[in-house]
Amino acid sequence: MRVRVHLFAGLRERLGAPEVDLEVRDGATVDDALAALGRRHEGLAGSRFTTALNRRYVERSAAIADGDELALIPPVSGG
Amino acid sequence: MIDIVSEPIDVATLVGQADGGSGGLVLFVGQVRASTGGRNVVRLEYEAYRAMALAELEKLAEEAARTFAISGIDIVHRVGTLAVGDIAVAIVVRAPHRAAAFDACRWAIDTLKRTVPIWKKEVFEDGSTWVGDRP
Repeated sequence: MRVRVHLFAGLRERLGAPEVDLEVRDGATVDDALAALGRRHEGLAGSRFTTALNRRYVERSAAIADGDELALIPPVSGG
Repeated sequence: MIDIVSEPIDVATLVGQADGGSGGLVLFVGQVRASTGGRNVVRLEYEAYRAMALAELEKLAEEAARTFAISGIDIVHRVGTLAVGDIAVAIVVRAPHRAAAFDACRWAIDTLKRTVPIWKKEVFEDGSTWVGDRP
């Protein structure tokens, strides 16, 4: 199944794209998607971020469904 | 009103909205500082995960309304390139009594800075950095 990963701020710059499409196996978790992304992009290693699935903060153990929107949220700095 | 905008924030319009006579109104305005850590700021570049940031701001406003004795809260955040002195965020809290308005406004900006997916890049004369990002 396919998941679209949204990247922001420093993470977007290090990985060189605002969005990345990933293929993951059925039943994959956020952690699995991050591992797949890490294999494609060295820039992910050592980066600090939390994760959101379909625009809600989730733990990395959360299950992904086909077509989900996964976002990597670096430390926020609004205001 | 909850919004994320690319244009300058008009604080007078926010404050001037008819509200039927709340009693107290507290306004917080966040502006771009001229210097950070002794370095001169040239500009700030704000970026948002817009759909989620709006959802988080709505949640924040709902929680403020549940937690504090207020009659209304408006939050507007700007994104894009901002110059020194530009307004990045404005929060208006209305309440029958001032204490709740002050408390809710302080809580709202503190919570926004912790939870809402918005980022700023500080551009200095000699480099730039995403605030809070240490790869």
